[in-house]
Amino acid sequence: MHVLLVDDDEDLRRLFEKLLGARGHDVTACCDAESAWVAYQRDRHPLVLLDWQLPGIDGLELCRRIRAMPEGAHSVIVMITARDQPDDVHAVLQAGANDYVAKPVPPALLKVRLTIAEELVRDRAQRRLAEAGRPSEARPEAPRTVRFAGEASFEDLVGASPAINLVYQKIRDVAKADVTVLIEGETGTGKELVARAIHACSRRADHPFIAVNCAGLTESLLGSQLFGHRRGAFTGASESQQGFFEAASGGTIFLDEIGDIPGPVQTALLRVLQEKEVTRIGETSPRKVDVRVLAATHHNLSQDVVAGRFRADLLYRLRVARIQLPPLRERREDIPLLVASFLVPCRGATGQGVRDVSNQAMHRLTEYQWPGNVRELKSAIESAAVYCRGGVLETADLPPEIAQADGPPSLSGTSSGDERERIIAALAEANGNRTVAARLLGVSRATFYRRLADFDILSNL
Amino acid sequence: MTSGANGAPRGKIIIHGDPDLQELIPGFLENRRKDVATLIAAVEQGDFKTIQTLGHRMKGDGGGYGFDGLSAIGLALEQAAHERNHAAVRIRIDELSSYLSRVEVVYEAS
Repeated sequence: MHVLLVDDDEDLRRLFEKLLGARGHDVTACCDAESAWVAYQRDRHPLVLLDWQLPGIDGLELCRRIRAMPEGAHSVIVMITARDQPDDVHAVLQAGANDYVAKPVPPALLKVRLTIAEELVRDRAQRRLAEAGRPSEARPEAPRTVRFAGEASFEDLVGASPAINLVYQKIRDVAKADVTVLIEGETGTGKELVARAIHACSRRADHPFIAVNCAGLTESLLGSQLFGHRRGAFTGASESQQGFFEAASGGTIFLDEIGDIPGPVQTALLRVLQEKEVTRIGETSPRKVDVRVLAATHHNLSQDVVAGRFRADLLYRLRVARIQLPPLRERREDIPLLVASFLVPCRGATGQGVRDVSNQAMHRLTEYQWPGNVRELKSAIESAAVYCRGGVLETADLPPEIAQADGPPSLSGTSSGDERERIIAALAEANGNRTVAARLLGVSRATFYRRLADFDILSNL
Repeated sequence: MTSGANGAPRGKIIIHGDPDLQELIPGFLENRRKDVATLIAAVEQGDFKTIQTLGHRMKGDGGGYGFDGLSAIGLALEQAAHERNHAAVRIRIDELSSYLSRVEVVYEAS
């Protein structure tokens, strides 16, 4: 593969040239954006690794120039920077890059990101070939920008699979509209990270983000926390206090485990959503609030409505937009990238540096079912790092349930009802295209066809 | 890469180098030793721009080659230069010098 490498730091150019050369790539190395621009116009490199801070034109501007070219939409661009500023990721994606790598980047993580970039390049080449084979009237126009396709991370979410890229896309879509969003997914899939990403990409980003876990709180405590109370409203209320809704003024409130809130709080919440006002406990006059509500649950709220546990009108208010997070077992291809991202902080936490994962251990990690999803994976890696004796994490370092686990027994470890719903949702998302639907679920086409037959889905659609 | 005592002689910093980078690491460390001289000259002249640039690069390079300690020193240098803090810059240069004199790289097949 012909790779364009742009970095003004000679040591880093050497490092990348070495790693890229070892992977069989032909590298054009440039120390500034001007010479890189000339090289790109000549060769249209399918993969561009680009430093941000460069003498003269910076990397961001070069990225925009490449994207402005009709052919530039096809290149995969990875921005690599040590700037470490809060808005960097957003700016990089706005400029049209596909991925953002923060320096310093450990060799193991760098290799993983290169693998993902290479896969993206190959996917694009195959897609272009397929498009070239279609009749001209059916050929879609080449995209002007590709910034929404094939990213390896977004805000604090990590993953490059089609399933998680669909989530990134939905986050961007819902962030633009100031509507209530229901985020659904199993425990540990990263629902709060999605909520934070929506807030960070929205016009409310400069205002507070307040996360509230609604599970396990009594009706009176949750009501007081959410809506506030007047002094003397109940025993122990020695001072008047504003609630989370008022504290989040202008920003976003994230109600986690919304399916667990008691009935009277559901009623009060419905009023907040409808009237955009809260009434502190013990007061009679409502106060106006300007807060965006994001909610999350691992429940099936539709079933809770049928069972009488959740108000239907509240569900419809909460579910103006929906984001369904895939469980980790349905995006196994993201596991190496997630592992690499978790290894980095492990260095400081354990006092031992873990630079890599053995092939056998990685095989175990990718085969395991992960009922606790990304949270369980993170915990497993942190635990394994504690026991790791050398620089490479081995199978024996992993928690026993993972080290001794058998391979995946089915497309999903959830109940058959959940799995059936996911398959139908994926088919709908893919407009009936089974290959695309299988890819969305992170399973092979053969497995997907088998499960279609198992659930007798097609005859019922 | 791993740094730490692990039975190493007292004071040594043992780094387990990536075998793929074995050819490059000696040159990389040599360049950091040259940086020490450049930094000393820059701090004498109050040239904080050069110090900030070198710190920024060291921060980006260090971890890439597996020297997390160099990345940390680079970050501290960059910040000290940004604050135009002579004393802090001198402390970081001493740290860099000490790190480079104590670091020892071993390579294992992965």
